[in-house]
Amino acid sequence: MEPNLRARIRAGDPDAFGLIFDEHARAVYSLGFRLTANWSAAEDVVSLTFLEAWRLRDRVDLAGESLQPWLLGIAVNVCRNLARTSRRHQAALARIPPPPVVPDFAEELAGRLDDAAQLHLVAKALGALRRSEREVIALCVWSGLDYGAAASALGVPIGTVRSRLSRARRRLRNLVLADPEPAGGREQISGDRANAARPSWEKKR
Amino acid sequence: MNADDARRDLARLLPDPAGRELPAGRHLVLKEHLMSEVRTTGRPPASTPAARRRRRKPAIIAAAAVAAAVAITLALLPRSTPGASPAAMRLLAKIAAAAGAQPSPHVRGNQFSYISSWVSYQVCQGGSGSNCVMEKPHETQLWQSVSNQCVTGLVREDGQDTPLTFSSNYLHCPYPGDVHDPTYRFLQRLPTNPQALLSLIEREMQGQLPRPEEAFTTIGDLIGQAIAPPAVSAALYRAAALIPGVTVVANATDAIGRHGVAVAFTYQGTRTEWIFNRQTLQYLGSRSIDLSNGATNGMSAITQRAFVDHAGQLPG
Repeated sequence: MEPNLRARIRAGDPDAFGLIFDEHARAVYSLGFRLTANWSAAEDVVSLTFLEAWRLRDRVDLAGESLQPWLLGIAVNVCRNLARTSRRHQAALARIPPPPVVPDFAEELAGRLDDAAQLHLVAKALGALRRSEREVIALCVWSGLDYGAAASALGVPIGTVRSRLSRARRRLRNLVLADPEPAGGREQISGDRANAARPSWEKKR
Repeated sequence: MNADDARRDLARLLPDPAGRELPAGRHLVLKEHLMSEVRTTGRPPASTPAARRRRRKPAIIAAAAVAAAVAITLALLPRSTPGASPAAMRLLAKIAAAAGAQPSPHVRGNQFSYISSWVSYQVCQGGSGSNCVMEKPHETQLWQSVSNQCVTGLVREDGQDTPLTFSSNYLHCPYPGDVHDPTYRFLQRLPTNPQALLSLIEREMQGQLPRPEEAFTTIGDLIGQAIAPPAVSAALYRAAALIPGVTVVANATDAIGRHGVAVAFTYQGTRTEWIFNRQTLQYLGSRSIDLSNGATNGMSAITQRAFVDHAGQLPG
């Protein structure tokens, strides 16, 4: 990333910040969903992360590679304290136009049924992990950060990232052994399963 | 560890749930909103249509309600747990007494905690955990602000220095940390009543039911990867004595070959041990063992803990 853009962000140039949003909003949204398991919360995570990033823009290093680890680190913290951060930005959140009242059912339903079984199994697996383990998986495995970037996003030593990952791996493997159904497997959706995709996971928070 | 290997394995075990992208329309809406917030920073917020505000509220309130429900559920769960084995209770009581008898250090807020340890992890050549060997133990030195994680710390590993910047915690500076990533000041404020401490640790397991294994792991991280004041260390050991399933292992070895007695917990075929010097009952390190084949898959040894004035400074 060009140092010029970083300097412009530090200087409070909104257009430069808009470019950053275009580049990283998707990654923040995905991470938000991975950590909250809720699409509408993931939208809030996007808004809150960038509002926080703007507030903290003078902490952007002038040198460095992508700003993504920094943004994802903020997003992790937003997810940890969703209610608290929401309160801080309550007025701003209230100004976001709500999503369309009538969602596109055809698209929504197709996507949901297709993924329902998988989501359910992933949710079950995630439930077996601790928050800190979910965070390293979301960053290293799903968001594609390397260990160093994940360590700096979370503010922990690389060794901690490694030990959390290996602990998560151990637990997941045991889980798979205990329940031979692979987490990635797809099945015919029974009524029970389709139902499970929403409540069991989204209710948790 | 081969990073790609570990990641592939995890990706297979746990497919990415994020199957949907931010719809283009919402991307635009969120961006326009952000840009307008950014441009009006400092000005009083514009008046908001009440209907909109009402629409936004339920998500937050619902989240808070669920959190409250979880908290209530946790509070109401019966505590019929018998706690650790009698031998583990006796040993932990002695360990707690020894830890609590240590002099309380005088620590200034601008100092750094220093922890030197040797660690070793399992390295697997095969894709899904086959062909595994333990790597050679290597030294890790860690400096962290005692009071504020927004202050840059330092990790020295294999002679290489890496600054430790807590970008994620810039949100509420100064940030004393939490149970997962504590500072000394955070630990100082923890309750010293074992039951209260255990309840607090269980509450940190956001949305999950309290499980003995979670509590054991969290306490293990706090005593093994941080510096806690004597009274809190003692309380952590006494809290561990309340965890059902905790046992004693008569002979265990840490990452640099020191022998001791261990407090252990087994979960899904893996036994995690906290190892203590038999005479002084001081914490030496930890080890985890896959009981299916007896193989060690992780170990550590703490060699020094101290407080220093600067990141990078060795204790005098």
